[in-house]
Amino acid sequence: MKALLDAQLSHEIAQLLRDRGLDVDAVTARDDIPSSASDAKLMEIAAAEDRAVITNNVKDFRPIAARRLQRGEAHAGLILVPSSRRRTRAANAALADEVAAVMRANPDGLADSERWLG
Amino acid sequence: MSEHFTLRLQAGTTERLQRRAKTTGAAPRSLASRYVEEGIRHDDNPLIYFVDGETGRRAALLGTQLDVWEVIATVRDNDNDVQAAAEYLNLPVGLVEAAVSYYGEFRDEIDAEIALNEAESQRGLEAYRKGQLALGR
Repeated sequence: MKALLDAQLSHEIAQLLRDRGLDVDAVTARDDIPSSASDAKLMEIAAAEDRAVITNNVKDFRPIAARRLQRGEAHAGLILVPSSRRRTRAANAALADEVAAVMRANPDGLADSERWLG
Repeated sequence: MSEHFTLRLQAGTTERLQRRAKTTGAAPRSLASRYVEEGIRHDDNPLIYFVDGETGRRAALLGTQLDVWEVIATVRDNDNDVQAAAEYLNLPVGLVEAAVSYYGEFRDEIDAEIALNEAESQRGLEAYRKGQLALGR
């Protein structure tokens, strides 16, 4: 499966995942995605590219995903990082390991679905 | 609390305001009031702008895909170390400082956004775990 890392998570996590052989883009490194792109637009781009969105912005992305499903529009999944997880550089490797485990457990993707990290 | 204030708009402004209000579903006076408030905030904090989100209007950091609440939550995660937060987010420290300054002025609004995300995160994770448990996973 493929994934798109949201902006509030360190771009280093995307690199760590690529080092593990996984296809992960950091949204902040994508020149084709404007900085003004809304969360709904990011979800749309990710869906078009069959990428799950990795985010800890739960309050915004879950309703967007739900609304897409209500409208009959597919999405490529959410990998949700609980807000209880501290976002520090020291925590990046452990977070990357957990995301990698989710991606490897779902090689065909997370279509219309979500997974939470612990 | 709101205060009454009367002003004359330039020719054409009222028409554009009404057209925009119709598009957004807002009352023209409410929309005008919002424009004034956000305009002043932006003039006072040039690196902050405002966007629509799932939970209403919110302050965001210019040139990034980050809301102010996301930046402040990152600063907190890094024990209020602005430099560490800037390195984590791969941003110039000046942008993080701009978010912190805005936070100083509108702390209640930003704290409410952070609290809402924490509550939704906790609720969603608990429901997910209970669902998995119910299925014996």
